[in-house]
Amino acid sequence: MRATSKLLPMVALLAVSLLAQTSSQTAPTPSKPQPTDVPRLISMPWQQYAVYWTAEPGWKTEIHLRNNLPSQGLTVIPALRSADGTESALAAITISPNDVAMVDLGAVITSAAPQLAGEYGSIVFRYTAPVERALSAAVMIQLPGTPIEFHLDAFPQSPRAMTGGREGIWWLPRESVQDWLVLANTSGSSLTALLTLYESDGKSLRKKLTLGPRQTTRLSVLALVKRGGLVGSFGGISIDAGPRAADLDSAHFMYDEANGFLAQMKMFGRDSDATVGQRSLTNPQWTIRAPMLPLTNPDPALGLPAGTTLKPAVFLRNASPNAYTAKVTFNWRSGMITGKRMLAVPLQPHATARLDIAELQAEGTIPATAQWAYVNIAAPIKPDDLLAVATSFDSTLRFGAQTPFTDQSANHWAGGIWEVDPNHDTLIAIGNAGNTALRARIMFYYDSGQSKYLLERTLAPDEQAWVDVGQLVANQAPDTNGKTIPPSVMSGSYDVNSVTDKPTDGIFEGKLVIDKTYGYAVHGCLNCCPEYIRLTVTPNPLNLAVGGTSSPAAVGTNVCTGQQETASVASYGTGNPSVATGGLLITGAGAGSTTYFASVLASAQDPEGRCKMSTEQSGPGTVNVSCAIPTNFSTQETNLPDGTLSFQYTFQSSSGNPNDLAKCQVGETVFYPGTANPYVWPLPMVQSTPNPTPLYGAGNNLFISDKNGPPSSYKQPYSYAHFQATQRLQWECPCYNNGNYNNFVPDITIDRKVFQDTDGKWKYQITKSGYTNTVVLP
Amino acid sequence: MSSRVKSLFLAVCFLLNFQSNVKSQAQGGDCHSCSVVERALHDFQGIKVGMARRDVEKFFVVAGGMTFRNHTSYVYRDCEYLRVDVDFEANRETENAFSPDDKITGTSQIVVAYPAKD
Repeated sequence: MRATSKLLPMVALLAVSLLAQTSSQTAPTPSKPQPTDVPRLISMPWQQYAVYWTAEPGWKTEIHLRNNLPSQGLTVIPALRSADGTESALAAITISPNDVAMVDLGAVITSAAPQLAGEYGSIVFRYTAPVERALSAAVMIQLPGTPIEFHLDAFPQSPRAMTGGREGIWWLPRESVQDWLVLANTSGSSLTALLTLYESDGKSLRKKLTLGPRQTTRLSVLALVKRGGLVGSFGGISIDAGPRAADLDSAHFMYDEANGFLAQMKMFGRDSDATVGQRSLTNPQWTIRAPMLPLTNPDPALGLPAGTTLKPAVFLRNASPNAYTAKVTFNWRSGMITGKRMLAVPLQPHATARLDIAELQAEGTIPATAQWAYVNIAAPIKPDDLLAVATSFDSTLRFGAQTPFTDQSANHWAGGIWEVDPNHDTLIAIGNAGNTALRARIMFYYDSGQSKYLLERTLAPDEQAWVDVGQLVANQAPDTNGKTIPPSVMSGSYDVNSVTDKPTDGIFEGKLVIDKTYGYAVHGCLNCCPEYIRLTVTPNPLNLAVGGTSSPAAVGTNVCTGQQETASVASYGTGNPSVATGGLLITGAGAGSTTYFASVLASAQDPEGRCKMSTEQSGPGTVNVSCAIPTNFSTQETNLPDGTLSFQYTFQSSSGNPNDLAKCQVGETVFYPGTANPYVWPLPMVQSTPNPTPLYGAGNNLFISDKNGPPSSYKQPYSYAHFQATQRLQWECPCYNNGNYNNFVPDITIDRKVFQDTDGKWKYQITKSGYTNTVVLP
Repeated sequence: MSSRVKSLFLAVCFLLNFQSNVKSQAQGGDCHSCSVVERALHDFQGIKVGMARRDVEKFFVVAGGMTFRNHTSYVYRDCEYLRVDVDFEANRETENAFSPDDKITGTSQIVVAYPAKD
């Protein structure tokens, strides 16, 4: 096969597009604070399982391990289980923080476990770490010298039992194709299952299976189909394991050594009790997505020989006994041009349909020039009742690529490995699975995990961003912080994160690692992280005033990294709404104490290891609500030249927060002699004032000016005059004393007089609270 | 009648009289006694939301009695019977005092009322 030495402009444009948008965005989202008041986690033993390895002649198995811990090494002990369940532990492998390790099983077997030469089976990875997802593990199966290569992810032990099984699709593209359906019992006890193979129209045959402890078995579906008299070139596979579904893992792949063909027929777990609401926060329908389907006219970045024409197809299978119609949406792209086309596909019970995308392009339903499609399939059904597999190969089956369908989305994906060297490139596509915009962040790690390269972008619902890692390196494209990846770097790992506080279904992702030697691409997967355990709220207790609000933080332990992080809070709730109410904020409603908690946006995994977004409730905190009132009233006075006593009053909020007094009133009422309104001051003082004079303002004015002034003028001839007014300084708060007024200080007498002084001059004098101001009349 | 109602009543009367006087003046009549009102209105119309407290205090002085930082009563410098209430957003650099940089967020109409003296 001809090697492709140079990537052509389309992917370069895609990479530049992302960078351009990244650089035009605002500064990167600041890192979340790292709370320090949570006790450290204690390391515990964990296990993850991969369904298949093989050391049979001609085949090569490589294990890829990533340490998700950012600051401590991780030691992993792989143990190979042969088909009969016998287990052989291999030498321990220590991985640096955020780094990856690759191990050639064949070499290890030759040197340390020669009894396993020629064997196959499943594999278990054992490690001790503070969190289960500290390890991302995958197995790469290869037929060296050919493009035949695929990977299988490892998953942790199921936390609970599950009723259901495994569902798949078989495809016989030509007679020379071989296939293996691999079934592994991850548990230490025997299990039985019922295998059902379907023709495309639903006709079926059945076979009972028994798997002993830790055993692996392989079946040729295509051989079973032929022996069973099923006809057609595609159909369905169903394996019912009943209540032991969580202990059964499977994989299905087909290959043709003669021309280097390999198709991985992804199998899906079925949880019979699952509901759409359990799988999605925002999508009302069961939705699966294939993010990177190469179309008829392949992108030159795939490195396929010039003139190669692909025949993309999507197989859809109704795994239920009910008929329904699926909505299939093709989000196609050709360079920078994108578009969308939707088709309605009716599916009979247990039937499998094949959508010929090449034909859709030929007839113009999808533009013939389109190079990629992100395929979204939705239907109003239970989860797992619809599955799909996408293929895109040329007529010889020698050239092509696949993109797996998945319902999975998460706001944190970890464990991706990228390769960029003269013979490899990596394309990554991430998309928004939710119904509201989110900010996506891709962090690339290299230099043994010690160096980082960051890209960020805001994605609208269903929008994708594509990254050509090779172009990032070749073009020395700066990241969000202006940093570049040195040209000498050829591999590393990466994480994808959503930075949003809104309840959303997070990010779906896809990756293709292109091998230019053979002109083929294999898809790779990340592992989603169920982000948080030990969620708590802080501060605890939370002290609030009536009417006061707060948005306390929620902190938890990231299960991938073991780090304490501040989580994205979607909403708050309380134990007693008469004391405090929840919502987007905690609001003090009435004096007292109650519990409060935060609903946090997080990824989660079901027993299948399937990712979804969910809201998780934190542990409870206590909120103490008090009635904030004015306190620490104080006075300052200044005499003004015109005879005014100028007072400045200040006070504080008992809660310490002035805004907690916003619903309070502070002020005065001044009572003049008699009941006449206005009160006419006695001559020679010429002045009329409202009687009484009420002046009030909001309680969050912690500074009040009060001017006790002289009359406007004086009328001659002057004579002695004198009167007193009573000033009442008051406050009221709705939450205190039934909302009645309260006095800051006892009533104050304001004394004014005009008199002839001993020096013979007529003077005006005002006295209040021990302060006096005297001025000579004009 | 409460002082507030009375103030409003007086304000209405004032405005009616003002309109009448403007009309008389336009017709060549003498309205010397209205000149201070005319000046007050002119100065008041120059005060806009977004300006600072210092802009108000070019023409108005803080009224007698109790006044508040975020809601301050002013009287016209040449006639304390002309009052306007101004809402402010407090300048954060100043605590426990009126700041000339407090920003105007709203104003009342000018009203005619007996001035508070406390």
